[in-house]
Amino acid sequence: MTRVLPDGFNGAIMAVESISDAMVFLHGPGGCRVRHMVHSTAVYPRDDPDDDLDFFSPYFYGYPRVPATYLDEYDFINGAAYKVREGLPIVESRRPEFAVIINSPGAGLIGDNHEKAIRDLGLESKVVYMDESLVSMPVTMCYGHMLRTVLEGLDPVRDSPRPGTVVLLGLTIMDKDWRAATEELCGLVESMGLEVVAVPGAGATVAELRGSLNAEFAVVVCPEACQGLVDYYADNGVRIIRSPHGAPVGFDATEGWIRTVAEAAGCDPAPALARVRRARDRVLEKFVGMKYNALRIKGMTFSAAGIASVVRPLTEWLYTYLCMAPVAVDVDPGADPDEVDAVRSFLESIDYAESFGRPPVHGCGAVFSEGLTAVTMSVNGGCRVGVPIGHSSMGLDDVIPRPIYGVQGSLYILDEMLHGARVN
Amino acid sequence: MYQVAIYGKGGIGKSTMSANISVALASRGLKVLQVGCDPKHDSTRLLLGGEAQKTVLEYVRSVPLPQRRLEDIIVEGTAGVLCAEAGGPEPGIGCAGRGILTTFDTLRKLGADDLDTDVRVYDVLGDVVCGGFAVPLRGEYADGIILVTSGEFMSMYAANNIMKGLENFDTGSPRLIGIILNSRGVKGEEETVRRFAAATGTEVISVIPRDRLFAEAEAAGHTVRELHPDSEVAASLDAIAQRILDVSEGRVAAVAPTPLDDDQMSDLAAGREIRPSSGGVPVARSGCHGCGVRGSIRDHRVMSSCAAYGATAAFLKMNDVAVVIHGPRSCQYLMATTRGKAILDLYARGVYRRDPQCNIRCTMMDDSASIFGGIGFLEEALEATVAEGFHDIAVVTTCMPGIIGDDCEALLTRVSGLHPDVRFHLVPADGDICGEYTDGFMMAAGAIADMIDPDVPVEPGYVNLIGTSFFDLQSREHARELERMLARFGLRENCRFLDETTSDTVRNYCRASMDMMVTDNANSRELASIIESRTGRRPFPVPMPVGLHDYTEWLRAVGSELGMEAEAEEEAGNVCAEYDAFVVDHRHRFAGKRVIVMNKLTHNVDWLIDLLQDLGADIVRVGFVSSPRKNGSRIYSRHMEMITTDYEVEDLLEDMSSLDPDLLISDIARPLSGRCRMARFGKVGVGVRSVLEYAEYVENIMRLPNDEGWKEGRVIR
Repeated sequence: MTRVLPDGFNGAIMAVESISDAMVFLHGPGGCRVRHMVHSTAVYPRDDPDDDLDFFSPYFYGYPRVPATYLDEYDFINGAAYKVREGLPIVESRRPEFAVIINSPGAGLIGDNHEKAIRDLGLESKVVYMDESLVSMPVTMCYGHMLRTVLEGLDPVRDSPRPGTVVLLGLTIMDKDWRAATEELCGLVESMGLEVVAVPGAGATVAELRGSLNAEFAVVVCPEACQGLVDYYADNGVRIIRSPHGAPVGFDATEGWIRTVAEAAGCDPAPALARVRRARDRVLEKFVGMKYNALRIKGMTFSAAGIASVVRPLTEWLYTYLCMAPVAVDVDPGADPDEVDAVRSFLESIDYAESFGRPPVHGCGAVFSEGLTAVTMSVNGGCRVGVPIGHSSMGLDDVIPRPIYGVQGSLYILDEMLHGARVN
Repeated sequence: MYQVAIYGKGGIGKSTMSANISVALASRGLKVLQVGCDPKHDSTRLLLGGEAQKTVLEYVRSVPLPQRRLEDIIVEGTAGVLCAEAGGPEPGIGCAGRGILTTFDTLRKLGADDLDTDVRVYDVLGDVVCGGFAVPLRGEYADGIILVTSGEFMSMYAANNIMKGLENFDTGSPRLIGIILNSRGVKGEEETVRRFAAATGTEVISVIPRDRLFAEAEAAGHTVRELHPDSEVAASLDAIAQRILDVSEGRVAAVAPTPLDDDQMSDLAAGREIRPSSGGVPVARSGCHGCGVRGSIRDHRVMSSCAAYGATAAFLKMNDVAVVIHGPRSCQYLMATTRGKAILDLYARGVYRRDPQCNIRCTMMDDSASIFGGIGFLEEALEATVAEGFHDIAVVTTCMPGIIGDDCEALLTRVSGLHPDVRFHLVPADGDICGEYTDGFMMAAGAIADMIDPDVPVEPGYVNLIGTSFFDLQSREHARELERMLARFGLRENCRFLDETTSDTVRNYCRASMDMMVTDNANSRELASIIESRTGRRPFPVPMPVGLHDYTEWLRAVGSELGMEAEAEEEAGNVCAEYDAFVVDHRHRFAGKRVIVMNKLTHNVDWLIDLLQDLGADIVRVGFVSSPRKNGSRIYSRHMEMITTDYEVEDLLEDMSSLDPDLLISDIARPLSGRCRMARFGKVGVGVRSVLEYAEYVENIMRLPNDEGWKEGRVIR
């Protein structure tokens, strides 16, 4: 099935929207606004339902997120700097701690001068603009790039480093159930005696971003989503911790991630590892209890497609933990080269080299991919089980926490497989 | 570092000037970087022994981002001058202005700002002062501007335009260093240019004579300043370099020019005394239907969704058609996820009868496509989609190809010739340039209607349904009610135009003996008109009914048409009795209640007005939100006298205070806690029974707490 993926334009907007008290001002048509607005509100609502009534003003038109200039044919021909000049004070009246003007792909062609608007309004310390060609960048790369741009605009200083503190890098609000993912990984890190002071890209406030440079460590979750950010923190003296096992997806990579953090930070991994141990035991109990379903999983084929640092540990884990056959393994644009090498080597080592680079195949047992592909294939007979692991499906999340990372993520994946095997 | 931009009309000699000035600056011991910003990319040729260098844009197109290095695109030329060349697309395609933006961005990202240079010289084409070519005028780039002109009118016209551009990028500090007259030998040209300079508040800083030395040096691939340093021309060039240094170091002031208006330019060309500026507000003479210059977003309609999405949505209602979105991946992502989610939802509810597919493809335009044109991207995507086995492929254009002017029609004509068994459909929606969602939907509907074969013979017993939205039928129960109503007269569906159909079904549209609008609104009528222009068929005069009034009228009309009057009367009698009994039972809950109805989606509201009136409610307002369509949208209703048009949420909020309603019925999906009871505007399907079920829903709303308990939770910030 042809996968549909976001690009850097989507990533840049969502990166700014990930900052709790920041705001995007989109220089683009209403069509570009409305879906980002819906997406942002769906995955990260910031306002009470009744607050919408306070946003009946130009550029917002009744919705709090992603105010926009609503470009039309006139503006594409004549330029629309006047809208930015008029709209920026209205956006600022909502008192975001920071704002970023982002050009839509079409607006990028008309070259309106945002720098002048910002300067004329005296907002240089609170507003930056992004007029790069975002559509040329992979979504994850642009997400990290945008966050770095914001940090550079905030220009924080490392004036009082705090031992034992951590920033988590590489989580995004485009991840499946990002809130639960953040809580899960913060919980694991904090169980080892470390303090998470910020999660740039997943709910951090502007103040937290400013203070994040004082963290002792920056722990990488998904390297693709924090390219640029890692260099920024490293250049400013924050020690980077990156697991050689990839993102903490599945029990094995989660344990590897925990041990890597503990070893680098000099803390005790035992409390975090105990959580994994308990989860492993729980799975054994359930699988033994539902052994006929569990037996159906062994030997199933699967397709995995997504961010390389997620796909790599997932593929390894499904192969070793569930004895499933990887018939198609594909990585998203902007993949981390080390992760690509690792997953390719792994597939070669288990005699599935031909599976690398294949998009999800019709007729396989399970498909692990972004939600739209996984669910569509599961309902149209393309696979028996479709497991969303990628970019969030516009807010179709569960109330029960179901991230893909850490212990909870492992249980989520196993839950999907066990139930999928039961009903098919 | 001081940055100077040298602008001039194409062919006026600005590249020659720029290269010579760069050498003159370098000869003063300054470190210089010259950046050519002209698609013909010959700015630095005279600094490189006549050789062309690799352009930044070619480099960006051919080298992946992680492998790019500054040293690959900046080379050292004469007198140590560093050279970079933007490049650009072939004439007639792509967007050269975007290329300039990309060049500056690329240089910055690769670290050009860290180069050890004292002066940066931008050599910029000045014929078109669009946003891209104006980039060097921005405050963060040019500290000083020099205009190169001859005495020819068009050359001064270009210079005047650049001054206007400079006005738009006012930094608060004067930046125009002056004008260089590059003589063409036109009679009286020096006097003309000096008049122009005086009228615009600047001065001619150098007069460069026509001199054979230029031709000789260029033939050798070098600058005059390098080969003939003791010549008179070289002395003039040195004087320009000195002038730049004087301005940069504050010894001489730059000026803020006052560009001429069209009348003043005419005076200049005619040799007349230049009249004072009229100072009037300029009027845009663009493709925007003569609208005036805008100064505020309040000056125009606000479109919520673009024509490209509307066109895509229309084609995706055909299960076997692939849609190729000619645009960036983000457009595909936003459209496919929205549409995909809706279809999966319908499928889960059992009302989508076919396996859901994801038939949206994309040309994945990126920066290189916006600069060099996207036709190659489109051709590649079309071939790939043909290879997948699709026999109907629709191409929908987004903003990017619309702005850069890709000639998609010519490509489709060519590709059609290569694949005679595939039908290609082009919808040049150009994002939102052609309007909002419904405009695009109608454009696509026209293309789909062209697929109808008007010669297919009629078979009795089939009916077509016409509508843009089949929302009201998208529940299992509503779909069954529709089938029952049609079956009562021995009818069944042939084609839904447009919903969950196929190219074959559309082709055989004329098989049906009747066409019925699903609802009587402007969109359905427009679709019916599109079909009529293709086939000559007119829809049945009574649309599919909702509510008692319309249902009984419909029964009698269809019964009369099919000679089944008795069956129609029997059903009408039964349903009237059922309706009357319902009203008696439920009237006490509605009687005297003050109700506001707010309608955004141009649904039929007649049934709701009838129902509320029958139940004794006091309808204090029926408001229709204004249409965002380019040409607006008409409203059709039996109750026009009750309807307030252009009714916006601000009006609603005022009415909530002044009219003190007990109930708001609205299709705006947002709660209004604590103000009054609010019910969703019903998607009630067709007929009468589902209307009565909706009344029960509203009745419950009035008896339930107004605010759900979950609202007591707090948003996590």
